[in-house]
Amino acid sequence: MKIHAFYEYSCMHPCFPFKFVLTTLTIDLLLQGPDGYTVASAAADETLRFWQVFGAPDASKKTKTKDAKGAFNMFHTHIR
Amino acid sequence: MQSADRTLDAPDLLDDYYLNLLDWSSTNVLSIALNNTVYLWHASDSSISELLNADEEEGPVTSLSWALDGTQIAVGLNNSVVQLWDSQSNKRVNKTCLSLPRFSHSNIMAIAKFDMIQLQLRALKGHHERVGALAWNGPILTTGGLDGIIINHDVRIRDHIVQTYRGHTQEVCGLKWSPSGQQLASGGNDNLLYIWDKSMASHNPSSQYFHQLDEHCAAVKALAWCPFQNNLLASGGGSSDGCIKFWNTQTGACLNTVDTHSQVSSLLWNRHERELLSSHGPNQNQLTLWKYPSMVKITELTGHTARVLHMAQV
Repeated sequence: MKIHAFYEYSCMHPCFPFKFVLTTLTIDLLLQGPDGYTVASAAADETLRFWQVFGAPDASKKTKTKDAKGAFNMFHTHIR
Repeated sequence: MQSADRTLDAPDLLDDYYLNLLDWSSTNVLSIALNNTVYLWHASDSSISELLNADEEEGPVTSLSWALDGTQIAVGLNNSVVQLWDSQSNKRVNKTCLSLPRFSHSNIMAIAKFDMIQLQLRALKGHHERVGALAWNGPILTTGGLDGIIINHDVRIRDHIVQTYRGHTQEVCGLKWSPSGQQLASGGNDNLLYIWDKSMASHNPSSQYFHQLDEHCAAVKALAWCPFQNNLLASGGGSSDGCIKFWNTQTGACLNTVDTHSQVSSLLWNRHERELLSSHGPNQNQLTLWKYPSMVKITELTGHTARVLHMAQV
């Protein structure tokens, strides 16, 4: 499971004499559909947390979430 | 007790109860404002991109709200202006970057082109102070400011201000349109909750309120219209109130009050079950799930180490 990728590019092309720096960050985890089951919360501890508090769309997904929960608990990445 | 499924760092998130800095679009993109910058988190592939970075004179960002179509987003600023952005998914920017071994001239052009997908459509003026609350009702964008004024903007027309609601004497921090689009609930730092009716407003450009509800004894930020019962509104009060109240917005009657003993910052109804979720400040900084209408606690979600300020749901 790819968790974290960080890219930074600089470019000094003669046609574009400026520094072009671009950072990208991706997290490959469970995909999430627009389901109405997941809630995001943002707090003064400067974290954004996701909770599957309104249940799960079906039983199979429920099991999957439970299994994966341990890994997500430890998961921590920067939004920027 | 449950813990979070995942956690992302959100550095520089302003610790300001009166702002609304988190929203989730119908196209499954979560937007969050971190000081002067608005970031988009694409839930479908968990990629992150930047929507805008406000100037020092403009910022910080004080509110954001997706239109129902999930492509337009309104962004309220500290300098009292509301910007309207078209944010067609720029996931391609990230994808392109990841697939490129090096940048070349043509690649830079490609990136620049993709970046143009995010466009500022217009800037809406009308307030005199920061805009901390936003709510959409079709093409109408409603904005609430520190000046206590609520303005309805029709974003399709040049003279965009179509109505002004005057009632609050302090900052407007909560704004929600009912599912039918007929009634607007507004909460303020003056501890008041107002219900405004659209049909009353259409006859008069500076309208009277439908109900003025004064039972909270702290700022009213948390507002949520019930998805399964017409004219049912839940509201939550700030620290010295800590109550969740239920209202019949036709009659203005308070149906029930539950004291949570903690600042209520946000309320969300479960669209699948008769349940309500509330978010809180100290001591527990938790999310509490309630059974409705019994208001029996189902579960508490803990993990946040400081007060919860915002919640969002797809």
